[in-house]
Amino acid sequence: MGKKVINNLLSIFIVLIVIYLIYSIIEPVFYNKEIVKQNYDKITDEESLIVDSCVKTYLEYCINNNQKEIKGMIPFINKFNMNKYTNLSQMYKEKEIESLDQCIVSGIKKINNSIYQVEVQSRSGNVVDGIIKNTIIIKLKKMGHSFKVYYDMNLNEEGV
Amino acid sequence: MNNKLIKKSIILVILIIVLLINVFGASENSRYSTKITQDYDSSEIKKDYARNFINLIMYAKYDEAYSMLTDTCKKDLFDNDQKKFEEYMKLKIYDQGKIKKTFSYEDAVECIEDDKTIYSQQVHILHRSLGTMIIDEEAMGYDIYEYTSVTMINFKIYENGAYDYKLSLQFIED
Repeated sequence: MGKKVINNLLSIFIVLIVIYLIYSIIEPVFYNKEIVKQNYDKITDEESLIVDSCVKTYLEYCINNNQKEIKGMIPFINKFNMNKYTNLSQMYKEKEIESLDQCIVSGIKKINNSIYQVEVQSRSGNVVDGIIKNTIIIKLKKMGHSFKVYYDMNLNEEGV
Repeated sequence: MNNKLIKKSIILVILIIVLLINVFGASENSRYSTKITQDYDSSEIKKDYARNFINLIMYAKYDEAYSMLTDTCKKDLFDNDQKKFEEYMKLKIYDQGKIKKTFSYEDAVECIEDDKTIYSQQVHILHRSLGTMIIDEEAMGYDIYEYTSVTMINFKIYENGAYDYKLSLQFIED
């Protein structure tokens, strides 16, 4: 009887962990620019500064086309199509966005406990293009002190 | 039954290891430092507020720039009239006639207003234009010269938290 209970408990734990792992793999798919909340969660200054720094690091790598570094920042599900990130870097080049100084983080909102939405304005060197607005969604893995970029609007725009 | 339990236990241990890697593991590039809040100079963020406003004006995004102002500023300076705001910004900041503009942003300075801590930041806009000066009327000779004018704006930053703020403007000098 005791063994049966342990067997059942093990089965439940295994199923739960598998479900969690599958969810954590496909989670980025659920976050895109359609996520518009009426009330965002309260965000602390510390979180804002961390998110600001993470996004700027990501943007810098995108501008400089550092594929290896970008690969470490994106979720597993996106790693199969790295060409998109090459195109993204190319887009920055075409728009004459050459340094992080041309990018300004204009707003940070907290979607839920660990996911943040960041608005970025990039000033193109080519006056015709003006300001390129971007929305980036990142997840902070607070226990591991790391982050993943779940969504980049520029990456998902048509043609990029 | 024992074999089944051992197999399941092994699977569970492997899954727990994968789970821990998933939660704690990360590539070196995606790590952030928690020391960042101590090292990071938040005055840099405040500089972004003014830069953000100026950029929006320079690219004629008046709606968004207007929404960044405090209610008092909208009322006192522009009578709650966005058109008036647009005209004023075109004249004072954008100024199409001036060929070159250079912006310099001073550091935000902490100050007290109505017992509340706010920040004050000055932005200098240097406009450069070319002009012609006739030096010999008979020979129709003229000289091209460059003249500059400076517009100074004092931004007052009312910050509720990082990236949660409103601005108030004061044009100091032309």
